[in-house]
Amino acid sequence: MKTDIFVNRSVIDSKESLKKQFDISKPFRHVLVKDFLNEPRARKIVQALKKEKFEEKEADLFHLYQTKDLESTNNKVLKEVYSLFSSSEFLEIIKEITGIKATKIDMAGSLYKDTNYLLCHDDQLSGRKIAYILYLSEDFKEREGGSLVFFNSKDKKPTSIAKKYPPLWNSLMLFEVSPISYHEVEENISNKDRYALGGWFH
Amino acid sequence: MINPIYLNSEVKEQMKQSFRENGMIKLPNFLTRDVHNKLLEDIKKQEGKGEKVPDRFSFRQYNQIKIVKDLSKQLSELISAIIGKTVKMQFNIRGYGHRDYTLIHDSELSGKKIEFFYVISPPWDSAWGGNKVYTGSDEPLVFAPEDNSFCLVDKRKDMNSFIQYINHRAGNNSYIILEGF
Repeated sequence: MKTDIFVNRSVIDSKESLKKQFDISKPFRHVLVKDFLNEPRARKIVQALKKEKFEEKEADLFHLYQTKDLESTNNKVLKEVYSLFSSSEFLEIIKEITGIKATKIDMAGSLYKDTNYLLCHDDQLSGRKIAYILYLSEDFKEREGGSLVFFNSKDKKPTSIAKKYPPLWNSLMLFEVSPISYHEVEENISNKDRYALGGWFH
Repeated sequence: MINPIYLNSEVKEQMKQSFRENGMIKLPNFLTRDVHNKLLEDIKKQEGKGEKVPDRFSFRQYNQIKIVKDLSKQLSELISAIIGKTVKMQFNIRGYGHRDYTLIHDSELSGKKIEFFYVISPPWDSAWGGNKVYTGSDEPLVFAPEDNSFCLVDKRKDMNSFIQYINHRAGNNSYIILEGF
């Protein structure tokens, strides 16, 4: 898998500065990589994702729509993204940015429609090292909701809001999963559909 | 203060039986209209205090008020009659509006066995969220906020409860719930 067919050259060239941002970002290590994929590729992926089957998921913590793990997708375009993210070449880039060595991935599509949300949690589950979200929605304004929200913590409990990232088209968020990686996805209060690909590096 | 229908001894017997069979009972038009209105008025006199622990809950907490204390003797007698044993009650008065919720929390998994709640609410569309949900191995029990209704639930061993996140379609609507055990 040739990473630079998919990923913008400028991203690959700026690994060192991304590593710095990842390390110094608060309230826990993270970085938002803008213009992550080559533009036509990102367009193709979102078109393919919109054709996947999404299941409605609802519990105390969330109400959203999700695809099955894309390892088993029949869609060629999505298969390619899955292969890219799980390739050793790509995992090496992730290691260079985060300093964390991963060997495998999970990947699913998510869709937040009007009123959908994911409340505060830490993502901790055995084996999860880095969480990632590739935003594939046209830009949301902050007032439209759908932002990824990071929380400050005290004694490993979430306290106040530290940062908000409205979903930015074709950007990749990476954050380290830890006992303090408390985050949520704010309710989508617009009539736009918020699409993303996401999962974890293990 | 409690709707006299529910104080009738035959009705009490029916409620007891229904509770035993279903593990829950819902009593509409629970308080007399004047008491319901006074309760709402007294709660609304308080500003309440926003309480939020992001991974556990978000709601508005109100102080105890006199009318609830007055009511509690009659209420504990009624609950005792329905569940067939005497109870000692404790309760909270809380308000839920847009962006409020409670989550199932590990420390509550082995929680109290009998729970009750009384709701004061504007006409509520359950698409706004805010339903009180009891989950377990069986089909979940879902209670949409309904004005002047009282529910008593026998939480079986594996049951947990939460209040669904209230979304923006609720606008400025909020409801008040007296939750207790």
